[in-house]
Amino acid sequence: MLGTEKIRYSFLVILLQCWSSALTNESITNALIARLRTTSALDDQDVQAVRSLPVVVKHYQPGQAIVRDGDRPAECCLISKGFCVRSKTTSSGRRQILSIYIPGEIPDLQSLHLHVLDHDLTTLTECTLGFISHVSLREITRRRPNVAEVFWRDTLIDAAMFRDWIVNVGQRPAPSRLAHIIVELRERLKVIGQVSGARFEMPLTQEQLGEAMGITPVHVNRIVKQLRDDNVLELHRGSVTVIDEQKLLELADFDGLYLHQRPSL
Amino acid sequence: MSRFHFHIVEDGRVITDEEGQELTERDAVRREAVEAGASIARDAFIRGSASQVIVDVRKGDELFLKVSIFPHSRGVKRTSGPGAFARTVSRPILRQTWAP
Repeated sequence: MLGTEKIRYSFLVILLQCWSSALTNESITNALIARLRTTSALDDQDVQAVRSLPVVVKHYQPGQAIVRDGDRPAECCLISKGFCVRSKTTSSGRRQILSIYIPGEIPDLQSLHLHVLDHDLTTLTECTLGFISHVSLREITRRRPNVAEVFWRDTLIDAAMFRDWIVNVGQRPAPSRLAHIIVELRERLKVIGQVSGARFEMPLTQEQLGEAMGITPVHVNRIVKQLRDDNVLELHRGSVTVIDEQKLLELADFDGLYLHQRPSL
Repeated sequence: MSRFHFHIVEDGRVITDEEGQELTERDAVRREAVEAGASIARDAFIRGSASQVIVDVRKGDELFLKVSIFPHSRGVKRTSGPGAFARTVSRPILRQTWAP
């Protein structure tokens, strides 16, 4: 009698665990699915396959390295909550931030094929990250060629964003650089439903903004004040409030084609 | 390690640096001031929003270093050869003054 009770109880525990892990998986992959559905043609079976990928969830503190230059990762990291940056540092210790990553993105998807990492991936804020093993990613791409194509397209969009980042840092005056990065981030946050009205999160310090734009923190401070005085936007404590949309768009010189946010683009 | 504040003065308009930065070496302070001043001046001179940019570096309340950048105009006259003309050349000047 006691034995039967025990079996029944453990069965219930297993059932509950399955249910909660399915729930976690669903919430971990939500932003990813929303994003992939915006940029690519993904059918219901593909979505189901992506949702059933085994994910190991970990919590990270701000400024923590996820993977480093020279690492040989065996898994890719899906951001579920929080912001991360990709960067490279020169031998004299100067860091260039190359891109900002938001929930639903897999910044190191390329490590599936480029085995040794050639840059650093670091958290900006507290993050919830889902780690998916290369083995299961390889398996899903072989079983579902459409998922492979969607992932391939995703890394190509990542590359398109790098091209735009280079043009921005190399050719625009500094206030436009900041405006451009802000508008791009907003367009990407919209896809995952993280823009409410004129306000959204941009949790970079002035030092980090400087590292992203290739200017000193002192110059960033100057620009942030100029944008506020010119009634373009307010950047305060890691969040942006747009004051004048028209002025912001003019300054940002933004054409969102490179984000390829429709399957037909 | 000391905290330095880099205030910007553009044609007399002051943009204060409330936050400041922790820096250890004199050379790191100089580098930050020169880099910030030069890149701010580049934008301001192109926009035409200022004709002089000063980075006023304070350690606490005391002046530590001053970097001034202004376009210096001087007349250049070429009197012989093809295309002889008189014109004005504008060349930015950067001047550093350390506090005694």
